[in-house]
Amino acid sequence: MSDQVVSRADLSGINSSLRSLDRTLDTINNNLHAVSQQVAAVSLQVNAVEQQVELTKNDLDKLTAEFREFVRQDAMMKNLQLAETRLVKIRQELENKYGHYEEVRRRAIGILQAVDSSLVRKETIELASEEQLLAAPRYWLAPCLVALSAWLNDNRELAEKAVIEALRRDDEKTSLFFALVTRRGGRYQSSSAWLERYLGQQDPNELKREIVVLVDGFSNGIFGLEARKRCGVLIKNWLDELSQKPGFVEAQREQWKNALLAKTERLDPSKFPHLQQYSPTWPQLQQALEGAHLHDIIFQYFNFILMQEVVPTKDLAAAVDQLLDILVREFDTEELPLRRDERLNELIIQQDGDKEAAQHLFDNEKLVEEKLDFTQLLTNFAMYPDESNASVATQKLAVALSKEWIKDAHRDLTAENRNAVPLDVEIQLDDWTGVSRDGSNEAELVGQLDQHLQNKKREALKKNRLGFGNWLALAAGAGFFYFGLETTFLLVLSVICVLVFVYGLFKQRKNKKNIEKAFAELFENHKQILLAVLSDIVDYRREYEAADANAGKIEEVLDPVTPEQYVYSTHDSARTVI
Amino acid sequence: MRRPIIGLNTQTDTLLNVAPKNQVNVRLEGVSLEKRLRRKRSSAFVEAMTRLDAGGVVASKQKVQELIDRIASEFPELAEIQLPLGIVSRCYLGEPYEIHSLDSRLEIIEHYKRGETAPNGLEKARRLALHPSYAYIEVYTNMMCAVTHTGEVSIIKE
Repeated sequence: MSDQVVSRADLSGINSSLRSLDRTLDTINNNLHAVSQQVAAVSLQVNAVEQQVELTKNDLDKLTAEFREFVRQDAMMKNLQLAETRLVKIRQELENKYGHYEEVRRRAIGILQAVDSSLVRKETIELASEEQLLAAPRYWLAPCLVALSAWLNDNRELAEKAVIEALRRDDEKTSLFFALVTRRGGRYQSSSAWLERYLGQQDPNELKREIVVLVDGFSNGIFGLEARKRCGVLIKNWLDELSQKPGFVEAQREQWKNALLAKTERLDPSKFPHLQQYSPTWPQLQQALEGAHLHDIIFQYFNFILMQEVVPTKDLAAAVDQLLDILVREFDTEELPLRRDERLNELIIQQDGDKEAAQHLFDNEKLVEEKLDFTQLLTNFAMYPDESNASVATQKLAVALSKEWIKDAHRDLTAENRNAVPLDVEIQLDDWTGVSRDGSNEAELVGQLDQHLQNKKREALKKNRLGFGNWLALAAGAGFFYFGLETTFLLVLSVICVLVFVYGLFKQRKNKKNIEKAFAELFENHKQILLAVLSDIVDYRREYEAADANAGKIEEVLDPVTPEQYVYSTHDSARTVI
Repeated sequence: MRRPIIGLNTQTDTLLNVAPKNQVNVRLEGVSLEKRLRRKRSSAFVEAMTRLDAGGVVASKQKVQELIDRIASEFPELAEIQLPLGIVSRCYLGEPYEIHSLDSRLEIIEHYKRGETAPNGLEKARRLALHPSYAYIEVYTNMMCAVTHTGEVSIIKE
């Protein structure tokens, strides 16, 4: 057996390689640790950036809202200016297109009054009337004037021819015109015949606006006893006929709801400033309060109409002249498209340039329509007396005839309004939200606000800690001190690093104080705002309750009203004299 | 036919009722239904509906059934499905109760505290029920009828 020598393996190389690998792993480990710390630092920075982005977004939202409001205001201003310019143009166009009718209109009343005073020769009247016929072709009033002058001259043949022509041009207006003229002249039989002719052509579903002249004549006692009775029965029949239509009462209620809502006035913008600024519930609160104020507005309106004294005109001739003036001036169908534009532009001006609101009002009021049903006319007489040329007596009569529908509509409006008042009012101060019903939970809300701000403060303080740089400086300072006991340069570096750490620590302490101070101030500030908002809520509830209590006054003022008490018989006693 | 309540009444009584009873001949819809619902409520009915809490916090099944029968007899022209889903009114049991309701479908009277939501669509009547002008509120699927102490009705459509 030969001895075999096994030499000892030299593992030093492997050992050193392993040590080297170990060191490398340590380095990698350290590097990974450093990376992880850096990632944490970046994450903190990302959080900070996120907060900044959130703040910027809020600012941007606010700016967008402000910009939109600015654009809206600007558009409204432009609409307003445009409407004013258009109104002038429309009126000029009316003047240019139909101005020559004015002469005919003035002469109609002029002839009647000239005959009263016997100051003008019959030939002059005849000549003037014939001239008007030439000057205003197609106009219904011109042949009426010729007929009138022929009648005054006892020229029966011409009078009849002219009347036929006038009837051909506009039967209804001519009939009404002669009913009034003959009534003025005390020709009762003729007046009744003309009136019958006019009434025979009326359909309560499709009445023309000039019916106001008839209703005015009826309510002011201009027609004689017999005609008044006839009109009274007719109005009753019309209402009965319309009531038979399915859905009539509902339609009336809606019509009156719209008419009453149109009286809503905007709330004074200086009221409840804190609620306006800090409550997201404000739009609903505002709308509800405006609706509650409407009760008093409506009450005052009807009370004024019903309490207003009807001043009778000095004699029948003057009263008829007033009606004739309205008849010949206001209701020419040719002018309707322009009159409609005129009204819409008037409403745009009234609504300070808010086109949508104006269009909504225009669509609901139906003032300038060619044909309307009798009840819509009654609504117009009651709510828009100037625009529908209704006298005080007619207004009173219209309210009396419509009182049940008004009461129904108002009752529904009231319930809708009461249902729309928010029970709880939300309060928002930055990102804190609280709820109050009547402003009485002050202590609870202040406690919630305090708790919310304390939490936010804690979060802010948590974020206010020493950064990675500071701790690195401290570690580096300690390292440099350890290795640099004999090297001045490293010692100096160590001192610098420690100083950096101490500065960071000082800054952190200072920040902490600032944060605590800022949150204390914020709490005090928010608390004051909160108290002001709660006080506004108390005032709001009080004001709403007072305004809402007025709802009952409308039924009180309307209940005793009857149509009979508003049909006047002012001129009946004068019948024997005329 | 009204739904019988299981277990409430096991006895069968044969009653001879000579009072005239309206039959549902034509089912009221739309405008005619609304017209019927607007009709003034009888004072006895209003009185009964305002006393939902007369029996205290827990009402007996018999009492609930009586009230449901009152509703059906107040609206003889209406089909069962057209009757109110429930009646809501202010609760006078005192704090913490705010409103109570008679749920016609579940056949219970329930009292609700502030902030507690009334189920089955009855919550929408809370605001009006709390208003002193109304005696009680009838809740229907698509509208509410607010009834005053004199029986006058206002309709709030949805």
